[in-house]
Amino acid sequence: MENTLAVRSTALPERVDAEEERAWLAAARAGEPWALERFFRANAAQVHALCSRMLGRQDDAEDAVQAAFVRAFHALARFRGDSSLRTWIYRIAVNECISVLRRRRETGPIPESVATESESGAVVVRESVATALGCLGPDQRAILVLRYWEEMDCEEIAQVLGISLSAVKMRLHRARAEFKKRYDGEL
Amino acid sequence: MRYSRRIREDNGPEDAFSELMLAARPEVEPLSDGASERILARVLDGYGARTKGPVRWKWAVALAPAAGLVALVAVTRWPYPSPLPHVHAKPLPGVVSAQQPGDVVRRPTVKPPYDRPANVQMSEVHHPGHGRHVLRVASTAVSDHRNALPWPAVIPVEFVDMAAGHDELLAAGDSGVDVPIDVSVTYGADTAGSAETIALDIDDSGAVVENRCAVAASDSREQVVATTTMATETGSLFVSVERSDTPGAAPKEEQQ
Repeated sequence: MENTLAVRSTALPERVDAEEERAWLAAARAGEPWALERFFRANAAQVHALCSRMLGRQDDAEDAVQAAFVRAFHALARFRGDSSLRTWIYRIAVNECISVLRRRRETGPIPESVATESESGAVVVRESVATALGCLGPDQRAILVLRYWEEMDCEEIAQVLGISLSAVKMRLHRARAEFKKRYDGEL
Repeated sequence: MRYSRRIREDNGPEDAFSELMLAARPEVEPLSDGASERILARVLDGYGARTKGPVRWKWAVALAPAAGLVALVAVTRWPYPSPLPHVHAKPLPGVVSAQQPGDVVRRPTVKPPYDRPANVQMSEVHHPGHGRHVLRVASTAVSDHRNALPWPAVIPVEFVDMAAGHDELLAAGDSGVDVPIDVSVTYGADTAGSAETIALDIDDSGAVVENRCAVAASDSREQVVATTTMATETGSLFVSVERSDTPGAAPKEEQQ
């Protein structure tokens, strides 16, 4: 099958030099616009891809990116450096996406945009997976997206979600089981 | 293809699931430069807007006590005079003064219901060994103005003939020197027959020494001789005249 991914996330974005990161992080904490802009440009593409896959709609994804970075800018002063900056912004973005998904469940689902595909079989699979994912809870959808679409390993997911490794594995197991029920029901 | 079938056909459930999910991974349009700039602008705007919020809130918190103080002053000063019973009105300016013993100073006109006629005549200060000193009524004021009665009145008095004795008195450094003061108070006719209490307060750098003496009412004219104590050279003597609710004769005390 042709790989149509325009942005293929290879897990988290590449690390920047730690010393350089510390330098502009200090400026960003002081509210320096140039440092904030650099922080945004270094992470926006990956965060946008994550939000797009989590939410399935471009406009929602852009809103989530915006909200995530605004929160991140305000929380930079409280960033303790326990994790890397990219893990930290991912966590904020995932939490923002989960909030959007929860609101969406309250107000009713919005059909996700599914790219057209010439191959009918691939279209069926994609739509079925999208529908099954849409039936999952926000937390289960998030962990599946992080694991299989963002290609993070369990340790990275644990950092992003702020949970233990065993909790990640347990949630993955439950999410897969729930997905299986929904997916088989779609076919 | 059903998920369970894929599991059986592949090496394991994890591989099958991964393959299925990867096959269904949605296409994501890369974030264009235009979209990136637009989002960045909105982020910076949102960041600035949020940072302005707490600043405005801090200003509001900082100004709240001042606003409360202004409101309190407005409440206590309006309507003038203050409705608070313990706040004495300021002495009224421009009041004529008695230049010599025997002069009668009419209390300045105040608005109803405080225009009860009350003439206050200040006479002299007797200082043992220093002769007599003329008192001058500088102004009068009314306290307890919420009450329909004009009394008690607080009458500031100043010594005129300072060189003649007051400063000598004070220059001696005598603290607690007895200064006998004659005070004559003439009330309106409608007060005749009631008992009055005249209190002499000396405002001395904030310290008020009070000396009260009760006088019996015979007609509309009372006289009292009281002894007060002066400590420093403020030169201000406040005579407050209070009205007693008890009618009839009260014993007259002379403390000289």
